[in-house]
Amino acid sequence: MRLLQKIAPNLLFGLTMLLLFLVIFEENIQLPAFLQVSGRMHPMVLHLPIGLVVALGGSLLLKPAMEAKSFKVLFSGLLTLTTFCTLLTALFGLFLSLEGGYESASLARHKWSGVGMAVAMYLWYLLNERSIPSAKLTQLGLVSIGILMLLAGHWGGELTHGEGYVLGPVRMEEVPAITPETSLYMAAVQPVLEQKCFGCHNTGKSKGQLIMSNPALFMAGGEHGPSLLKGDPDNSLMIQRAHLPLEHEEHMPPEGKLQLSELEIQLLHQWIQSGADFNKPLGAYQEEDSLYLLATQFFELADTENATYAFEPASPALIEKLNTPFRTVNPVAKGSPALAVTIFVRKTYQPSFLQDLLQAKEQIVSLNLTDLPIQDKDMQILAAFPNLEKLILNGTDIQGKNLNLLSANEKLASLSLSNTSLASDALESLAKIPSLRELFVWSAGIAEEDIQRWKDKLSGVLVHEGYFPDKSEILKLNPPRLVNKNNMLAEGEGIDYVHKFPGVELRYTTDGTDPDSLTSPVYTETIYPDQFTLLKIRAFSEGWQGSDVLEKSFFLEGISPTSARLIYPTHSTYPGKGAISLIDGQKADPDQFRVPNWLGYKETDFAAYLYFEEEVPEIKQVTLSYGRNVGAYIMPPTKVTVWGGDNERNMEKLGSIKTGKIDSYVSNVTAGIPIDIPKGKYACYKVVAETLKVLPEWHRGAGTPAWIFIDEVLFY
Amino acid sequence: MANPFLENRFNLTRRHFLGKLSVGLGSVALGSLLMPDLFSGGESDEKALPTGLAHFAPKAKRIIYLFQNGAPSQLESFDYKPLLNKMIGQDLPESIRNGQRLTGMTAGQDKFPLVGSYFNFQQHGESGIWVSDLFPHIASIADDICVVRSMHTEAINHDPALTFMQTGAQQGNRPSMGAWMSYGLGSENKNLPAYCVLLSRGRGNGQGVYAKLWTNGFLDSIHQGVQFSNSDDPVLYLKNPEGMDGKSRRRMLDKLAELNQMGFDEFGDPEIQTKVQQYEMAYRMQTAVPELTDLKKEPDHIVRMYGASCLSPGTYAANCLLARKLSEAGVRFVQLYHQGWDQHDSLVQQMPLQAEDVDRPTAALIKDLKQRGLLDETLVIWGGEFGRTNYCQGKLSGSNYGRDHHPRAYSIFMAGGGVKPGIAYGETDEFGYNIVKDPVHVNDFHATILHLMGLDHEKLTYKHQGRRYRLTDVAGEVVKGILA
Repeated sequence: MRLLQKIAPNLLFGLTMLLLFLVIFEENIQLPAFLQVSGRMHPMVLHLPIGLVVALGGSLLLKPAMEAKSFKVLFSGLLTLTTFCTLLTALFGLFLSLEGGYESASLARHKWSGVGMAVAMYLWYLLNERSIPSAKLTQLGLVSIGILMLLAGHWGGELTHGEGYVLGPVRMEEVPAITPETSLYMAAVQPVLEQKCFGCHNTGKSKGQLIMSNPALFMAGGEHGPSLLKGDPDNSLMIQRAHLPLEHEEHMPPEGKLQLSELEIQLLHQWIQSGADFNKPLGAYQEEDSLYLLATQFFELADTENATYAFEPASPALIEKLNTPFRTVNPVAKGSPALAVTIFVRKTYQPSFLQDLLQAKEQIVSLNLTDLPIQDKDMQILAAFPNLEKLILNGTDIQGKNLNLLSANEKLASLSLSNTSLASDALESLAKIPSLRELFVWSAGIAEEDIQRWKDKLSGVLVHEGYFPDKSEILKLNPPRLVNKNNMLAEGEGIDYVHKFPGVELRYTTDGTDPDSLTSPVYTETIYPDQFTLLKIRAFSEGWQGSDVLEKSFFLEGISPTSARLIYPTHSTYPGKGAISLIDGQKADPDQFRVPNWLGYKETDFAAYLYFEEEVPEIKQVTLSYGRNVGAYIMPPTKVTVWGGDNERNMEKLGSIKTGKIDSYVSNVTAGIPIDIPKGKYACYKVVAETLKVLPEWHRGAGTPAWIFIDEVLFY
Repeated sequence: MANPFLENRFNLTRRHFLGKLSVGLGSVALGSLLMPDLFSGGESDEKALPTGLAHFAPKAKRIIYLFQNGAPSQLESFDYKPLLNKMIGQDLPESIRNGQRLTGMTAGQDKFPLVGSYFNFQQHGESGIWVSDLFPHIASIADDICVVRSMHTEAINHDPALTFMQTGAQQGNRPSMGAWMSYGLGSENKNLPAYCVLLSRGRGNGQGVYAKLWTNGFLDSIHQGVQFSNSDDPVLYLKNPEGMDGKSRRRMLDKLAELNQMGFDEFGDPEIQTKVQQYEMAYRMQTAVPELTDLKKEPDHIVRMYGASCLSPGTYAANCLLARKLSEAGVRFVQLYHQGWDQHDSLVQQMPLQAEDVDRPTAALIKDLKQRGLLDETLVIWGGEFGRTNYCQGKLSGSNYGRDHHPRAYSIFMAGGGVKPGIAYGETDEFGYNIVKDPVHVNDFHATILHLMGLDHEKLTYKHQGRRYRLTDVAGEVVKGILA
């Protein structure tokens, strides 16, 4: 302690002298490296005097509670320490300032206030040591040091963070709206630089003597030369620096500072590439310009349509009252005073639905009255909405007599009158609505030439007359729809078709040919087939092209065998449910191979026994049902043979059919092959279906074996 | 209390406690001033959202989504790649495929023979957008549509890709887009569901659609999509049963509502309220729906525009016409699914049939909205769940071919509702395989659609199982390049 009391006066005096000396002869100083290090510790050390000055003030609170002597020791000790730290901070700060990169005016302010504080601190220390400490001296010291510290601290902060940093958030700065006239640099590039670069490269603080916040100085560059080369981003210093690895000494922004994102680097790259233009307005760029598109990611164009409204919002109670199940009244967006209104359902409409809206006439900007019984007399009500911008009267009962009243709607920009029966001169009065921009008069009862005439007169209005059908164009009808859900017909069940087209005629065939409009039978009532039938049907109508063919196979429910057995196994991929698939009455779809109703064979033939074990019925026809999907290599059987007998060892051949060749990619169907047999009662039948062993030349699987898919054997 | 001293201490402590408490609470309150949302319950709170109002003024009020289920080939529709015709039969260079995973259907192929479109392409309108000859009517409105050729997704098979497109997640059970719209914006017409679903099936190879695609997920079930029937009666069981007149129906509903209110008072289950609302809506639908779904009264020029099949319920054309009518009547989200676009083989046969079914009605719908002055507030979207490969699935032989699934790039188009008309956005490489410019991820697509509807995709959230969910989950950027 005694040692400290001895050293302190000398140390503090020395430091003060050193500080004053260095300040005076600042110009001539050559800073050695180790002092640079201490200089860079200034931003850390400076917090010590701040804390200690606060502690000095705080220690006064202890005074009444302490013995005078103890307090004196405490106080003078604190004062000594504070003076020491202040001097050290000022010295370090001086070293840091010698490194350069700071703008002189703000630096000077900080330097002199800092040095001033240090010297004042020393003076206070001196007076406190020499004279008996008085309350007045302490007050004076604290106040003046406090003021100096605030000033020095504030100006120092401005050096680091830029001017106006502290008050920035509360200062009411109008951010100018971005319009097509704003330059792309201001809209997109500068905000990025402002956030990531200006902090160190501004007129106040210019690290590397680079100032980026002023276009001219920015182009001029810093101590390493120009920071960018117009049109040559790859050789521009700022892009190169941004691309260096983060740990690299010269990487910008420096490690620890907010880094540029990939997208931001891309933006800077493109901007330099296109010539680093500071003034070219957004509007001057092509919309597909890659720089422009990139830049659009960085700003929101001021929404001119989203104009703020001058009127007050309607009360929530009123809005709630106006909302009914048949009338929707809503602000266009959260917080917007503007209201959009739609009234629904003609049947329930009452004139009061419209009348009531006058309570919010100021606020309603859009009104949709589609398909309501609105009449010409209602125009008087509609004219009373001063801020109405969009009015939809499609499908209403208006004839257009009072449309001229709408000229009172000074904001009306869009008017839809489609699907109405307007008088031919109804559009005349619309020329009086100066704000009108869009008019929809499709199918509004106005002749095409009248619309053309009015188009010319309504200058500045986009008139949409819509689509007029070309009556000479022959359009194709759609095929009829099959009513039956299932193509296995129960006893007494017929086949029904519907077609909704007025005056349509349906014609069908059962012989496999496509129906035509002259000779094929006309479908008038339910069709009852007497055996498996492939029904093809088309729709025809005068002035229309006949429809595509609707093709569908129908099977009659037969007499079910009691059991079945497969002679050869199916291909392992398509085992179905085994032999039971043949007699379960379940039909399969030729597009769905995997359904368990299909028994698939390749190379081997299909052969099965079917048994009638209890009552043996009289059978005159056997129908084999198969699937055809030529594209998927699934072909019809080439030959089907039926045998019958009392048991498997005692059978006679009853009938056989060869099928026709397939010579193209015909449609996918489930079809049947009926084989008539001599009437008879057999307890056991054998059915054999042969596969196509080699696909024909035209098929894309030419040379390889085809599949057959069997799903049912039916007995009649 | 026997001991007055102790009592005093206790009192002091209580006073002390309360005093401290008030200071403590005061500090917390002061701190909370810095967190405006802390006590507002967050955005998923019932009061905060949904208010049924857009976050900002919307461009589109309604959406009609024409989903082409099965994934139509972009290479035969909107992404013109003449190089593939020049290089027909040659192997896809590995430098282009770059190790991209393939489906099980083509992963085993040792050759990937490139194949160009069998159908010609032409430029259309002032915008000069390339459209294949399969879609002449859509081509005729090229200046009204915005083709996005740089869509990409994460899923490679139909079901996850479709689910991803519709719900923002591949796994299912998240709310569908339409449900989110209904949740965020409410119903415009209180007499109809906010979200309607219409199904149709084309003649090409099809893939399934399931009710999970229009689910409300964890949202209130009132936001669920309502599937319309393909029969003559699009909304089943709407008519009063025989012997029941409107009056007795009303009395029955009033009584039922009373009973339900008692149930709600006892259990507080919000689903009970939903049920009551649904009964009420169904009652009003009895009046509103017949006006809408009666296609018989459509005039001849409308029938010619959409094609004759628009009068046959269940066809794509009829669904387009119905979609227009529903949308015009204020249905927030009309979702169509048209099946049959999965051309793994026989593309040359099947694609013209599919295109024939959708081309005219799609163009008619857009023109029809436009002529009624509704296109600017209705967003129409056309597209599938992913694209198709630039190489042939299986061996390339003759003039026919098929294409496998390709999630890396595909094309969709949009029209109206604040989307820039007459532009083609994004680009793929010469092989049509990778995106080289302006990619649009499914999350970006969702973010953009919500933006057009006046919703901030980051703010439209719902808290479920301890975390907030969004349609875009944790990703998505609004694609500003396509905003008008």
